[in-house]
Amino acid sequence: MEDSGRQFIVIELGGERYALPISDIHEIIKMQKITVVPNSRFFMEGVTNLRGKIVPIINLRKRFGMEEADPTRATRIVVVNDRDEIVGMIVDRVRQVIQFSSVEDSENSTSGIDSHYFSGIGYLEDDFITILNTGSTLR
Amino acid sequence: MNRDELMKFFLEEADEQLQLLEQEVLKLERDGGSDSTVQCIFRAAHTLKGSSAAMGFDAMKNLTHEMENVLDRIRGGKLKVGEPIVNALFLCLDQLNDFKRQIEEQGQCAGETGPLVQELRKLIAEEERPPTPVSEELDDPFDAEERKVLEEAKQEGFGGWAVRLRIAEACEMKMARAFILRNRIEECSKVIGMRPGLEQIDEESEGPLEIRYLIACLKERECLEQHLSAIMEGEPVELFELLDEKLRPLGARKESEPLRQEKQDGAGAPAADNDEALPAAVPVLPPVKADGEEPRKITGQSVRVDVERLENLMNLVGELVIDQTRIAQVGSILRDLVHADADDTMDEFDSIANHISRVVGELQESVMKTRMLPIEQLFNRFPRMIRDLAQKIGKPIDLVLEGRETELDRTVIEEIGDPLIHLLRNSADHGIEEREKRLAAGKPETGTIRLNALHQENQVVLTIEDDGAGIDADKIKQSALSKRLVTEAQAAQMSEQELIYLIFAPGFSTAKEISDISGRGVGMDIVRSHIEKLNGIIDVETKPGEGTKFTIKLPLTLAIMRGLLIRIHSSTYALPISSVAEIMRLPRREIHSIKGQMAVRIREQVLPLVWIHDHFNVPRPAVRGDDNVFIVIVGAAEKRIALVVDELVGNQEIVVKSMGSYVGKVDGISGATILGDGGVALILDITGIFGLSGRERGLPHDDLAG
Repeated sequence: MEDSGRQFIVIELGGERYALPISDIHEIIKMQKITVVPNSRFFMEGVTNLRGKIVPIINLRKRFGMEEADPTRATRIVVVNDRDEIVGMIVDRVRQVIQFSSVEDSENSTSGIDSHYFSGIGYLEDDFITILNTGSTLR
Repeated sequence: MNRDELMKFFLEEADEQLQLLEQEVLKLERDGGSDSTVQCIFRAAHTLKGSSAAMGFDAMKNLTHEMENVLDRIRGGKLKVGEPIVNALFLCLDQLNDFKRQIEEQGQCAGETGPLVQELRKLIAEEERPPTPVSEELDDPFDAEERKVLEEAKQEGFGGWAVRLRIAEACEMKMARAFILRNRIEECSKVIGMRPGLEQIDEESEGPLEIRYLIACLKERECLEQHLSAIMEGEPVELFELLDEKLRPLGARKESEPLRQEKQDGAGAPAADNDEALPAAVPVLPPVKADGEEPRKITGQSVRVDVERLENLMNLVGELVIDQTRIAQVGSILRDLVHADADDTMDEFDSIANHISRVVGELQESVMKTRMLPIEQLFNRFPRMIRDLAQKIGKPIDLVLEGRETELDRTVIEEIGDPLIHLLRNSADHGIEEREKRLAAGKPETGTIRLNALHQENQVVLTIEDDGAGIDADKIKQSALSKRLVTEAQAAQMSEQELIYLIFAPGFSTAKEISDISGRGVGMDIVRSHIEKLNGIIDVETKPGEGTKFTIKLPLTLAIMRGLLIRIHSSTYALPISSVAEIMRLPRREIHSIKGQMAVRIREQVLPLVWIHDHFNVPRPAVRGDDNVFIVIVGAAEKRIALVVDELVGNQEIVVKSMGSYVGKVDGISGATILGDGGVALILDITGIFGLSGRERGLPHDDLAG
């Protein structure tokens, strides 16, 4: 448990890398057909069918106010646990699972995105990656 | 099993038994009570006594015990069924229902049963006969028919005997055991009669079960005795005894406890040498046939299942339904992809897929059926209600129930109860006229309310029809005006039908005085909201002087329903078929704008029209070559609205799924379902759409509702 607590997956969005704690992740799926839900949140892409379950999908680009992009072969849906439900987030690419050498709880971000969505920064030997706060990203 | 579970069981059973009790007491009042009715009431009281005693609800146990005493005397022919008894039974029933409610709410019951018990005891005391102990001897002896058979057998040289045996308390399924024993005794003799009969055996009763068989046999006594002893070996029989045909112990066995004999004065049994036989004072009990008209449900053929389990089963079947359509679709894609030499394999795949889909179809139907109950359960509550009501308001009313056996989903049955009660009360209170008025109008003195249920395709249609005065549109108008539900101008524009539909507006009531029966101005509003909730629709037809008919259409079940698939822009949506009133194609030029509200005239009615595209922020469909648009007329309770759709896709079974709390409530959408291609279709929420359209433009209807 302790190990997985410090493990993160790295996603790519608009050329930037972000990390998500692996404990938040339910599964990662390929891009699939999504049904639009009218009059829902602006960053909500719609709902999809995940093995018979209706799962809401949000678009992280829209969420962070980035320019929208067409899905490519690399596009993935990262399904995260949210309270008792699961929610999918569309990302440009999923890179790898990493373990930071240290994590700093910080709300200062180096990217242009509102720091409200971040929970800290993870340091590697010669690099660092912003860690997303799943809860505030979804809401 | 813990106490909670026991409690649940107890309450379920009590519910069932109380309903049964009510139904049968009504029958008793109406027909004077046949044996089977009395027997049934007795059994229900007995069951209640047993279970309440087991749960420690003494007040309930005591009351049912006293009831049992009275019923037993009726059963024994010692007490005549009359009004005082029926009324007392009804009072008991009310008290029992009250106890049940208390138990439900507080987990215990308390209450004064004294006066009721006194009443019951008085009923018994009024009869001169001394009370006889409740024992099986009362209802025992074999009837004349059986005696005659024995006499005939005796003339052919058979000997007449009786076998008395006691099946041990510990024996499970005593009824089955009694049956097996009967068959085994038949191996060496002819069994003419059996007391108690198979269907009279109470599986739930405690203690050992004593049974007597009347047999005819060619064998000598010794031989027969030996044979019987051999049979009883290894059976859970505590006591077994061969008696003579009159149930007396055989010769030398005077020491064994003699059974009390209640000799029939009937045929057979020639006045023999028995000087100790009782005088033939006991009235002849009508024969209780072993294979009587109303065989009791044999325990073991039905199982109580928690609804949640069924719900879960239903969900799983829903998944299968979806997957099975997907398998077929993937199969056809695969066939195009694989080489020709794999054709055989693909054929096999197809036949498997076909089989799966057939099995899943049957599975779905079977699971649906397990959730279905006959509406009888609900209908049975009404005769009593109308009886009491009719007495109270002094109008003789006849309630006719039709289609009791119609089955529908239990959730639907639960939800539709209140609306039906309101409609029935309304018919009795407002619909049926006073006695004098009816006579003056040349109608029969007794008013009739007819409640009917029937299946129509995938829907249930319920109608409530009375032969009363009908609804006076003018009175409705005046009443609505005085309550400021509509303005003069609005009312002037409304058609008669529209005026009548005002009865569903909140805060409406035509009764001049508020009675406690109906007319509090909430009834019809409740009716409407319940029916809306069930995705149902309601219609009213009324003819002044002739009566009123309410027609309710409901889906059979809520979990899986028939959906109409439509396309709006690029998305497919589903509409519950039960909400769809009509589908049509109309030229665009027939869409009019009335005071900023789009509307179409369909036959004599003007319906508001909605471009749902506007609400969902998608473009309206391009104008087609023939300038026609597809229109689906949908209804929620009494309201109707016309929806423009781009395309009609078809209809299919849809499994309703929630979108979860993250998506939350979306206006105009009630849920989602999964399509054959694996995609998701949203289910349109008809009530929500009425809200959407009303909010923006202020439909006349919603002005009223607000």
